[in-house]
Amino acid sequence: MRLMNEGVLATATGERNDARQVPVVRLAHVSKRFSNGTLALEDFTFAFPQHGFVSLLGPSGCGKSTILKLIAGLNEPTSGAIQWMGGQSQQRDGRRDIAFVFQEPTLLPWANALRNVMIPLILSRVPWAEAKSRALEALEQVGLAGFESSYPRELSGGMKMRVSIARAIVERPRVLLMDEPFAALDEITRFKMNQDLLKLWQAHEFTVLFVTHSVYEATYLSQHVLIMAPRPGRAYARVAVEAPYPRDEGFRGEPLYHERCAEISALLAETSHG
Amino acid sequence: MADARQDIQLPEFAWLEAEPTMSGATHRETEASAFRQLMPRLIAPMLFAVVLFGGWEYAIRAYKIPFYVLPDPLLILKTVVADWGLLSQSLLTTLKVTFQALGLAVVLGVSLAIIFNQFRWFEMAVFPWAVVLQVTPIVSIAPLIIIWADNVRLALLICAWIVAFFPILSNTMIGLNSIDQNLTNLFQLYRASRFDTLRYLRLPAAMPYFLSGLRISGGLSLIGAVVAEFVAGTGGQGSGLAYRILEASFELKIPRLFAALFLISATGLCIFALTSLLSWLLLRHWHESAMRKER
Repeated sequence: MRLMNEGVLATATGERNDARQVPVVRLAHVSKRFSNGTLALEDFTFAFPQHGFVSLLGPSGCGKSTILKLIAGLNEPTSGAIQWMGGQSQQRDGRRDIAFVFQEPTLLPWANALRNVMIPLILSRVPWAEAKSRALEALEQVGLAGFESSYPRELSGGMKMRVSIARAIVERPRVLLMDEPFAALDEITRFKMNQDLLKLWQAHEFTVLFVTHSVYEATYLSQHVLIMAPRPGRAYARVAVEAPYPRDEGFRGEPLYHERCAEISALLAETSHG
Repeated sequence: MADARQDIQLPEFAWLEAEPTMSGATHRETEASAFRQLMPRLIAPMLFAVVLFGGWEYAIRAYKIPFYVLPDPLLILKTVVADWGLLSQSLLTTLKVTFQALGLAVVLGVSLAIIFNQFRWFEMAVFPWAVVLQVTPIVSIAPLIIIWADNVRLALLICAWIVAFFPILSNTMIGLNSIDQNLTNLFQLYRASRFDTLRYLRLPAAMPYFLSGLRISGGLSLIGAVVAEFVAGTGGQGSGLAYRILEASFELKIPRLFAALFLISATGLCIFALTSLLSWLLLRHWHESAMRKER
């Protein structure tokens, strides 16, 4: 088993450039114990690189969603620290730089796609006209131009998730937290969403923290896959996927992809036995 | 993300209900089909009414039942027309009390539900008393209210309001708390203020619940207005339909009694139709309850 080392990670191209690669958020010895006594996360240390794509992969109860919630500020850590680089503290401006995509699209059913995407801007008092134009732009970026007046019930599962992603990127977050966003979608839609997410990630300068159950999804998308072990939730291993971006469907046929998938699967199997 | 159109799906049951000719249907054809689907909803009750009232009319003629025992439907309609001057005055009075009570019930019921939602200790202190008010039969407290209130109109208004306001209060209370946990998390993540959470999340989420409360309260405020007037039993120039019924029964003007009764029922139906229409207009885009009627 490979122990994790804290600190700076390799860049997308596989090169190590410590001076340039600044972490955007760093978790130092973070533990989270719920009020019922469950240790959801134990001594987790990791620095998420700026403009990185890191997947958190592991069985249920390994604390991957807990990490997202801690970074989002939805939960407070029991011990340890969450440090934001660039002077932002979690308490002040940190949270505004975060966008969260849940497993469910989590849209307001009474609001059309445009209003749903506008909501974060409305809540941060962005003027209406600007909010509207930015929301339209975000919808266009996720491929939903022309659907702005559709209501959630009129959209398919994949399209609802696109609206949810548009709502996340409309605030131009530094960190995009995604909690199994495509788990409920069929495979064909999921592949398409994966590809489109990568395009968005490359076009924007945000960091993605991607929680998933799927080895293949993690390998296809990420620069780094963190394998987590359950009871107590902890980091178990880290695997780098050195393939360059843009990655397209062809990447799923490459030897490197299969090697990494096999490696990650093996590590994942270890976590449930060990 | 160029081709989002591949994600378009037909509404689940569209192909089941559509007729074979519907493929490539124009807008007009769709409307025609909607009309066809609406027709049974209108025609069926009308046919039933024809059977019912026809049978009534026939029975009275066949068995020679005197009109002071049971008037036939035609006579009732004739009475409505003949006594329209008197009855319309009373109808207006009853309508005023009903709608004022309903308006007050909406304003106070929703406000109280919001205050309860925002201040839990206040809910704990006050809500049990709202329940007490609700479970006490209005007939038993109406005499007290009539004694205490300055004038009869005010007393009627209070009685109708007491009956009407509880469904709105309790439904809105449930609605304000019926929020998806994920949406709550989302608003927490956005650090939305309490007011913004109320405005953009809780109030819209409560809308279907409020509207179903409104439909109940619409009927109840009419019942409250009528019952209170029965208890008050006072007449005069500005008296409502309930007093006309009392008066007609004393004077044995049975057709007029039925005419007033007819107007009360018609009013209740109209209120129900209005609140249903309002509910459909507000919910048709998103709430399950309004979906089926749309097709």
